[in-house]
Amino acid sequence: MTITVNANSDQADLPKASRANELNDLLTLAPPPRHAELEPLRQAARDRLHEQTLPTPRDEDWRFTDLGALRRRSFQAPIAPLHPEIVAEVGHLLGERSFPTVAQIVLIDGYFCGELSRVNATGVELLPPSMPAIAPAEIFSDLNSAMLADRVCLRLTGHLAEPVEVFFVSSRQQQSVVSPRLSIEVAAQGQTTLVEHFLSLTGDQQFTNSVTELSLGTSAHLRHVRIQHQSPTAIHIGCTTVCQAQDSHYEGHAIDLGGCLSRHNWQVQIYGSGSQTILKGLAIARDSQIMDTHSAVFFNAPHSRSEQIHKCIVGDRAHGIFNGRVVVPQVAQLTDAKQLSRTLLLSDKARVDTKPQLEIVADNVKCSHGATVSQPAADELFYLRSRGLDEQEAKTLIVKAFALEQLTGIEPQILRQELEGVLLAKLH
Amino acid sequence: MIRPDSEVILEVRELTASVEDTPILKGLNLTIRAGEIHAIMGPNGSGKSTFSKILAGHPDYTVTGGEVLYKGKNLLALPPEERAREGVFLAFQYPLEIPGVSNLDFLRVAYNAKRQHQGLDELDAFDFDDLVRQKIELVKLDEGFLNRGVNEGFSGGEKKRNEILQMALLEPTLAILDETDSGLDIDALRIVANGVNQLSRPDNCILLITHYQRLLDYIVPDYVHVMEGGRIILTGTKELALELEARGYDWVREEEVATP
Repeated sequence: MTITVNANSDQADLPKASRANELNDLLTLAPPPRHAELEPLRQAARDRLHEQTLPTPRDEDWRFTDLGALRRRSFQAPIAPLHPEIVAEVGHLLGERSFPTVAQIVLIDGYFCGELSRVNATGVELLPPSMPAIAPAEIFSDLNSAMLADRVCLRLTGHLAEPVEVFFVSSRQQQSVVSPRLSIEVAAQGQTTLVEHFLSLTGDQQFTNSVTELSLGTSAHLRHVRIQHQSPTAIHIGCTTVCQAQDSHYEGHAIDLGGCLSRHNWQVQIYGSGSQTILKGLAIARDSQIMDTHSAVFFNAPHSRSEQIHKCIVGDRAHGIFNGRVVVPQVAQLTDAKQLSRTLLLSDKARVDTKPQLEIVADNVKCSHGATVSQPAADELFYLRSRGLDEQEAKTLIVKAFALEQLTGIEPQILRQELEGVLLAKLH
Repeated sequence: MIRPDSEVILEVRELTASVEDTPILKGLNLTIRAGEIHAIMGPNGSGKSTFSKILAGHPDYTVTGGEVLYKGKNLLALPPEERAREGVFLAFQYPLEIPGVSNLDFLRVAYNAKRQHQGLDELDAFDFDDLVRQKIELVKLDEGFLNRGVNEGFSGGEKKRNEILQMALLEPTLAILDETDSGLDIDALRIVANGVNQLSRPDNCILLITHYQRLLDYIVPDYVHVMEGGRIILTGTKELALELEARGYDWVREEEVATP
């Protein structure tokens, strides 16, 4: 169901050549790779991007997402990475963590920062950056590959009792493109929690174009918490791509709070039967933020399940977008896929576009979807007020409940409590 | 219990009100004193539920004339939350579901809003827990209902019992029960009625809005009023309810026409 439609942008009418230039201009800003092993990946992506253009609202996948903020920025070549002052500032920002982790990885402007990282636990192994790439051949993922400066590759084995925590920090106030890349392999039978934070130093004006690749071996379990909390001036396009082998479990929580323009491309490829996929998204857009989640679950094997709940809270003049694609070809018999999109609009000028996209060929499957868009209802507010809560308290209670419900399942508990605080701050 | 010298809690004089420019109440008069139980009966569309919502302050209704005094003060000047904190309670005909807000938290916030208004310290989670577990026995709800979302997935009867639990916690001075008997089976009706009876005291009063006499077998009113066309057209004792049950509402209308 499409709630509102507005697919106009003058950018679509630019001549194709001029739009090709936009992409080429970005590519000329690619920093040199830190490792020679990255060159084949960069080159392959450059080849794919040849003759491509930045998307416009005429591209189905970008129909509702106004990339004006990205187009209007005049990007410059990045300055030297990992300046000691910046490293110190990031160290200060991260401070003491409130829960124990088996590894802490810090990337600043896409570069692995050894000084602030710690990888020394059993079961956490740093690999050379030549791991096979599994990111989709999609324009911004390819742009990430083509502009890659560094890549962090990890293999996680066994049952890790504490999470792996990764910080992607965008540090600069100048307008440049950063392309962080994290690739993780969870070995067969492995069990672990990965927490990704996307953060900014004050006044961040960069375009963060990130890719995270997660590969789950047979019977592996991964709980993945992704928090995008960049500056309101930052632009964020992030791709999370997940490959699941037989009997694996992936539980993803994506929370989007920051950026003037943000997009999360969240793609799951199920390659083995008996797999389970849980996707829980929460986007809170205020002011004039544009916040987009495009998810896609591909069932390439029979007898797997997915469950997805995506929530948007959209206030002021913000724009929330959700597109949930589920692909069930003939081979994926006995698939059980559920999807629900729920939006709470907090103002008359807030807008949401939400759309399920089910592509089902197999005939013996259960696939359901639903979408609701609502405002804190007058009757709900009256009910709470008739019990002594004032109007603001009543509204806040309803909105908080809507948001906090989505944190269920996030572990460790300290992280969930931290996130509750962050959400409540954003809602006020 | 009728004591002519007891304090007047609610005084409604010539109240007129409309919703979206349609007049619903057309000159309603009613006086309720401390210790009394009143029942308003009447056919569908007579304005019973509108009256209860106006007393609680629902924003969809516009008062166009008359006055409502609550403990001698102008009730209509107060927003709904102030009325609640001052002791006005409406048990909803259709209590709302609010998923994600735990019932226990909701009850505590409501309880503490009133405490704060009275200048008392808020009860912390532990003390409140003790209190609510004691009150919940009154309505025979399982404690599991405390940890669910407010009314989320509750049956009709469970929602009504949850309303009475709120009433038990908030200890209102004026409790208005809007069709609390609707949708209840006989066991649930007994539990709800028993809860209400235990909450009735010499210093508070209860206004029952009901369509059927059935509820009045369990909660015995001091006065029964018949409402019709936005006004109270006849007042009697509990025997009037039985007569209405036996004869319907038409004869009241005819008598009213006969004695203008």
